[in-house]
Amino acid sequence: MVSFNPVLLTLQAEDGKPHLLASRCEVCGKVYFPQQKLCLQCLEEGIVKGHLLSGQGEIYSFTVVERETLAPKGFQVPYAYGYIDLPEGVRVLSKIVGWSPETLKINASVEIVLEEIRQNEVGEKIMGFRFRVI
Amino acid sequence: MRKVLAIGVGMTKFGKFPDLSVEQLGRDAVWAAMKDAGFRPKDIQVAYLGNLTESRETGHISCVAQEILRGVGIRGIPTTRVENACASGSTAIREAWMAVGSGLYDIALAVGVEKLTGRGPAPLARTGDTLEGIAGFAPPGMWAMRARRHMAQYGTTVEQMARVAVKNRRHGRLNPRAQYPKEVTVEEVRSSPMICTPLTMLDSCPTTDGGAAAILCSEEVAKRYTTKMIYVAAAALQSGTYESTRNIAVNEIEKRASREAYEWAGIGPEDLDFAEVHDCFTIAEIVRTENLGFCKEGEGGRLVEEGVTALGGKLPVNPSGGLLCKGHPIGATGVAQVAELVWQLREEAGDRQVKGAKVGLAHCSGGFIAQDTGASAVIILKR
Repeated sequence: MVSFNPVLLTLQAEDGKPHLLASRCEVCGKVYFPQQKLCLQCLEEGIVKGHLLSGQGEIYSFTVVERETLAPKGFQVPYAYGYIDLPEGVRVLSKIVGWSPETLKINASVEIVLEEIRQNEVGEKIMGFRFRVI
Repeated sequence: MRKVLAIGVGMTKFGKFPDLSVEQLGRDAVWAAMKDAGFRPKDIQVAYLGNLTESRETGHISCVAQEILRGVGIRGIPTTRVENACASGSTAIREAWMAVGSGLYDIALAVGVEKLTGRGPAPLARTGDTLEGIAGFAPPGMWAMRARRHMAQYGTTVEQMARVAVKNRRHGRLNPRAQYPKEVTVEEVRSSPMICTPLTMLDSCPTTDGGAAAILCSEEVAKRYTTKMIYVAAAALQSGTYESTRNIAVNEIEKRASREAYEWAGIGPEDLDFAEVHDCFTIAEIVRTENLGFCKEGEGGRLVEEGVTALGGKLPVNPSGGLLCKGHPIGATGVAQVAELVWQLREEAGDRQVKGAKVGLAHCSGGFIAQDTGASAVIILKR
């Protein structure tokens, strides 16, 4: 198993769980995902350090893609994606899984899970992240 | 800045034209604008092209503006392509406005063109191992999510959204250059195929090919050619602020762009007689009528429901039919809006004429950048 992008997602951090990789300004506390070298609030160099995002958040908004011609390769309609707000003040675009029309709602609680998005040339699983409705 | 006028405009019919090249669409629009102004190719001193999709994949490695313009005899002048997604055409207009306004040139051309049929995945689609790609991002989804928030925050309904499509189809039926000649009903909008909940096919603008052109000039030049003096009172452009947890039911960038345009033009939204607003989706017109100051935040649904924005209403929005009916050839859209403004202000808009129109506004926004909009342009013309 390998991450689809090791800069964005670690499959197993020290706590044994998958995490999105952000960066955090040591001065103002602003968290960036994807990672930023420069804090866009302080605009000073060298004050931003690596940071693991927590894996739970809430749906800010969502849509269910129903039109087949709009679905990128590897996606079968209907599927849901949306913005997930994390407690660090970060909003992440993600496919949403484990939902039903009753549970797919604004403010619904979600948690990060790994999902195989495809296999590479040597048969390894390429893993992406999803948020699953809790 | 000295005064700048719009002296000549032209556009092709908008629609699906598999047999017409991007060069031909651009050249036809430019030729029409030159005929309208009474100019010859040698009169043009500087030119800007708005276009999103031409690239190596479509057979244009570089300098597509020069390639288009050489076919109408426009050569030996500064020629530049600009790209700001759906605001590319408006950006070309702004560049032309600055070129003349600065005093550096007397006559500037802005052309917008886009060829979208037979060109593979939707423009602005994202694929591959990117955050958007692995999430399954589809371009209508951004507006679907804004719709969902607008409904939750302000109580906007899918029926109110459908009324935008009904209105703009009704307007566009009176426009011989529009892609769709037919009206639709609220029921037809709601029962058309769902694309990204809650938006249906008829909540969305179509895939369109087309070109549009506008020639701007100084007051001295205009006086020699016409008595119909149409002034470009403002051409504002803004980028996003990219706040990661912003309220997506409001496009703050459009508030900033319109505020700047109103200030430059020395007017307020209450002085407008009509507007062409970027209605890529029905919800987009609702959100943008709020952002442009036509009504308060959250009241855009009510505005269309009460007929305020229909022809004959207090402030007609998209008398041309807008993107929903006229079509959305991306780079051409902002220039075509300016063409509509000029026709309306000259009282040449036929059955869709806004009676006595003196001041019109054109708005386009483009590009999804970090949950925000990349570019927003607001142009005001007055006679």
